[in-house]
Amino acid sequence: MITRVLVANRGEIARRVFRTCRDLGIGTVAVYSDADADSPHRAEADRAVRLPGSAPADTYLRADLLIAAARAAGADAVHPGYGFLSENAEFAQAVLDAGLTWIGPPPAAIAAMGSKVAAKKLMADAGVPVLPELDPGAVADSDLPVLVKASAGGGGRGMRVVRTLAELPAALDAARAEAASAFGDPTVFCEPYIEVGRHLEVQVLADAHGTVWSLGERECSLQRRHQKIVEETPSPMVDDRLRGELSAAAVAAAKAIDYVGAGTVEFLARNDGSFWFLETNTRLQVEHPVTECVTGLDLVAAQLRIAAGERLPAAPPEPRGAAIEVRLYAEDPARDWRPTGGTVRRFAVPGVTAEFDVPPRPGIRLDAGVADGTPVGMAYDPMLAKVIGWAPTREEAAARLAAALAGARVHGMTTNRDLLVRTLRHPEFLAGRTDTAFFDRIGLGQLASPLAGPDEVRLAALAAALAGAATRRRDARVLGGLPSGWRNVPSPAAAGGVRRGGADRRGGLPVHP
Amino acid sequence: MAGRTVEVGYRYTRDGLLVEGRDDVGRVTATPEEVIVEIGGAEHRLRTFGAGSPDVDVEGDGWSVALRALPRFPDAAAAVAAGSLVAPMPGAVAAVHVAVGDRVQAGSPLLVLEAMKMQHPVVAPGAGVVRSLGVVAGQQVDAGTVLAVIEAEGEP
Repeated sequence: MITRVLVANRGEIARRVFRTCRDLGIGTVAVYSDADADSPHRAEADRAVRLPGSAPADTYLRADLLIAAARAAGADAVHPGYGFLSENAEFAQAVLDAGLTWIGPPPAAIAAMGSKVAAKKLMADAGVPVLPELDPGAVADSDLPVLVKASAGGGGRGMRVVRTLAELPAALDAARAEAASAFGDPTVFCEPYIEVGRHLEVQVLADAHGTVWSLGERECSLQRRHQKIVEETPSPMVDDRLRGELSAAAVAAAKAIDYVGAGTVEFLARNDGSFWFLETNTRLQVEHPVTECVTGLDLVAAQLRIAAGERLPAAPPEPRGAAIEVRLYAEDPARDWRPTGGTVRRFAVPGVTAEFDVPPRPGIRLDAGVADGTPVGMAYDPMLAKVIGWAPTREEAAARLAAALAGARVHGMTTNRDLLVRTLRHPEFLAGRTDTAFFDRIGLGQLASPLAGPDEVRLAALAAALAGAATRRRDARVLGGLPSGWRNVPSPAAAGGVRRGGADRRGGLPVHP
Repeated sequence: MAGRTVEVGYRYTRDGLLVEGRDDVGRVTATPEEVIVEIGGAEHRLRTFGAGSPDVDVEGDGWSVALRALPRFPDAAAAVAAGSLVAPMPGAVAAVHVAVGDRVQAGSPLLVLEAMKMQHPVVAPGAGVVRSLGVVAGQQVDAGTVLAVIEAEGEP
């Protein structure tokens, strides 16, 4: 019996887990670093424990502090979210050793999959196709291009594409340093790099009594810096035959390691339907909401029930419709995806029909880590929110999601919003040609250009000037009832200048009241 | 468009709003939070946030623009070298009392501006040395013209 859950994470995933806990009558505990003192996840939990400092290594990666926090706040279970310590077998074991319930797979299953190197061998033995692993010290010219990956990695960290042997040593060093800092394990390996591929993954759910479900695939091919930004289910390239093959491979992978809980088996596929096992993520994925929308399942609730020993029904629910998720980032795609950051002045998405939950009928789901006034710094991943469109068809889901995003209120920083809208409306996307080369092929010049063209900017400037005049008029103490700009003789035009925002918007120009 | 400056010129006339450079703008209703502009017969509703403050966000129909208001009446003193004395009004330089290199005390008369038939003494804001003089007696100056630069005592 779980009565109070500590979420060893931050931002939107902490809020996501809290929502399910509230629905199940389970108490919640947040942990927060100093950088997250004003984060909504802290305010939303029943109890919160401070983790002094801001660097991940001082805060969300400190297993000892997290377990002490669980004790201090009276939690009897720990949910790791994704990232940070979510795939760290020692942390899972430490949680269990402290007498707490670990909401995740058994430490042995994490360990078996946590090393990507070992996982590939295990999968090959189980008959799942894998890409050959290359020894970083023995990469030859004929192997190029290769991908350097962190064995303990995820989220694109510690990953490098290498096209010439001369680049290899520096790429290995950088990947090792990133991997050590993000995951506490510097091991890296190389594998052949597939230039144009499709990233497919299968959501599995397994109970402790031998039942393993495949909940279908997600396609997450649209990535930047090897990090996904658009994810959807079902994949436009997967037919029933391929779905059957992928699901069978994923279930075999889960059974091979006695997997329990929610997990994801990732594959790299070519357009011809050939595929290779990439890795297994032994945790909830960022993109789990699309699967929740089409299946109607609450995967966090399923994790909690499985952790409490409950059985899954014999067969999973049939999926309904199509769902697409986009990740809204505080970053500027036009400037090499540079993180922007700042303080969120206002945040709202129109037409949201559910938050952190499956909408009651097709609609827009929002999982946001920020609210009005939340500071967004450089300490962590600059994701602001996930917005999910769910509709009877893929086309409708894309259109509805694009409209919600285009109307979204995200004031205070440059974001990738306009790029996401242009992507969702692009003919190549709508035709399902969403391979990993999508952004390079279409070009950021087109995709990252602002939704507001020169006419809209001029109109906005006029509106800003007129609203400014209306504000001064409202606040005027003398003759406030006169219309703005009233003259008894014709007069020259009033002038109002405004500067279009951008990365330099916080430049601090002198301002007249 | 990021970083570009957009100038807006408008004027209220007896027939309504006149926007410089466009003749398709019809009826306009403006409050601090919302501006409705009729363009070519169709009303466009624009939501404005932070109007009157430096950072203004404007949302239209499926787009939004972040703007930073520039000063309506640029403060010339803010744009010149430290220690510069600028003409507070347009006028003529009636007299110059100091030369480059002179030491001055706070309140020392430096020069006299004549405007609107009145003489306005310009005095040193603090003790220092006259580093440069931008004007000579008899010269016409605009508001904001740098008259003299005083280097404060103790600075290099």
